[in-house]
Amino acid sequence: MSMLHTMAEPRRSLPDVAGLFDQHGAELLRYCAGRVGPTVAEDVVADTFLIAHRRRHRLPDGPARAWLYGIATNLLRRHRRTETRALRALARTGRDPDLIDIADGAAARADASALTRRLATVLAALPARQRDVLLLYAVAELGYEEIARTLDIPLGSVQSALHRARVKLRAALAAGPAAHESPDGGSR
Amino acid sequence: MTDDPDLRGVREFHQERPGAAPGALDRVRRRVQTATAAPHAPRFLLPRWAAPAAAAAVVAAVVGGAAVLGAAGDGTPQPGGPTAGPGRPTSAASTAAEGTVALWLKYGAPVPVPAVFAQLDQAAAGNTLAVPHPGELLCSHTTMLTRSGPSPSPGSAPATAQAGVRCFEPEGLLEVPPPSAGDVKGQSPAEQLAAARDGFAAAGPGWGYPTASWLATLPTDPDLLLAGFRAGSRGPAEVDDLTRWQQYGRFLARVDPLLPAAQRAAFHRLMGRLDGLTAAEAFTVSGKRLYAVRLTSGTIADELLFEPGTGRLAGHVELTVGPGGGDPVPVRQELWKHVFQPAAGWAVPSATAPR
Repeated sequence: MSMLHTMAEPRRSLPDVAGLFDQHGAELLRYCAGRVGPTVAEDVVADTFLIAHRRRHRLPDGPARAWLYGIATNLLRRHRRTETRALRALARTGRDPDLIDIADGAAARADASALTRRLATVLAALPARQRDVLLLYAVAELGYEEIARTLDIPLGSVQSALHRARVKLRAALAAGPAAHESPDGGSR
Repeated sequence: MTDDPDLRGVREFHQERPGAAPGALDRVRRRVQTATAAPHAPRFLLPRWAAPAAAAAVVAAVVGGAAVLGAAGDGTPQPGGPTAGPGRPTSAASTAAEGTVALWLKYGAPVPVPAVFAQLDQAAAGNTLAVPHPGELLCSHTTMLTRSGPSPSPGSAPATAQAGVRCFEPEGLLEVPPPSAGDVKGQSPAEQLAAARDGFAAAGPGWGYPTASWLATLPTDPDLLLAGFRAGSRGPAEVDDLTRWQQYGRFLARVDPLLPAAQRAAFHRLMGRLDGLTAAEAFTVSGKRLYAVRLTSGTIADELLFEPGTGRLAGHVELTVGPGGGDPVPVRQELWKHVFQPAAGWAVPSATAPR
């Protein structure tokens, strides 16, 4: 954007939620479905964009993508137990949990590999912040500073949380197939 | 972004988790558009009841059911529906939008909701559930109509009709991959079924793996049944009425062929407690009469279809109100029929293998 353009537009126009949805809706839905299952994900993503609509005047400078991930991450915290339970079940049985939600059941048919089960064990045992930071970094591919702004935590906390999560992750991956047999730890 | 093995492993792990449900993006977009376009912007988060989502996705994806539209039992041809004889598997097919207008239900006179449930209970009590023979699968035939959004009158928007069949092992309702199924996440159909059986073996009968004998043990006291249902559901125990209605609908649709009359009546009593219910007669294109019990909440309406003669669940309709208001317009309609058929007919070797 040119300087002239910038000066002619001292205030950025409010983002259009429909446009934001077109840009980021599918990606967010996929991210959330991977964390809490397809049904809950629809609620989370719908709520994310409604909050974004209500707070669009507070959209910080910079891309809206990280901002939306931040809103979604906060909403996902309400479903922490669901996410953890699913991960534990996946780690234990190689399948997503036997829920009343039929869509999840159908989606979870495939048996997981040993590696998948080890990863599920690690993710289930991670404290909430470490899990959020790890997934925002590895899956959403946000940078440290974006994650810090997104979660409203210091940059150092992001680095620390990511480091700790990765240490556990690497240890589990290096431990071999038996790792998924270890007891599940707490996640909150 | 670094591509270290541990981070790559997390990414791949995430990619292998369940993805979004079919049509989810459109449903969410509609919810967002509806809420943000409202004259009075919502002060609260869009509640869970605004999700025809789950109902649409889950009921469609899972249960299947049959093409009662011109139902197989009526002998009326169905667009894209089963073409073989009863019990023969058919592959999913779709038809063009043309000719779908007449397939939407026609609604008749309103009926008091308590009277509907009372009649359904009576009908169910007078009908004996079919019991699957050894080696038989429970197959659900579905005919589904969809259109992209609300319109002034049914059929004026582009619509599509589809029909399909899904088969399940009666014990645990484990889905048996269709004959044409390929590998999923590196697993052959036989491996998929084996994994499902392992999961059932590990968990046992329950809300996730219903069996006929387990369903018969469900409380017939509505309060006790609700307590069990809450415990078996994920998510918060207290939900709005539309969400609960959709949960009931999904579960009933799944277990309908196996659910005894007493437990079915208990579910009907639970459903009858919800606010926003109305009922009316509804007629298929072949003239088959159904009861349509609808729960309306805001701009969303969710409807379950019942067969008066048997008390069984026959379908599901998702409706929404257009931007101009007015009566809700169906945007998705499914009609189901369940049949028991020999596993060998489903043509998957694993389906006939000993358990």
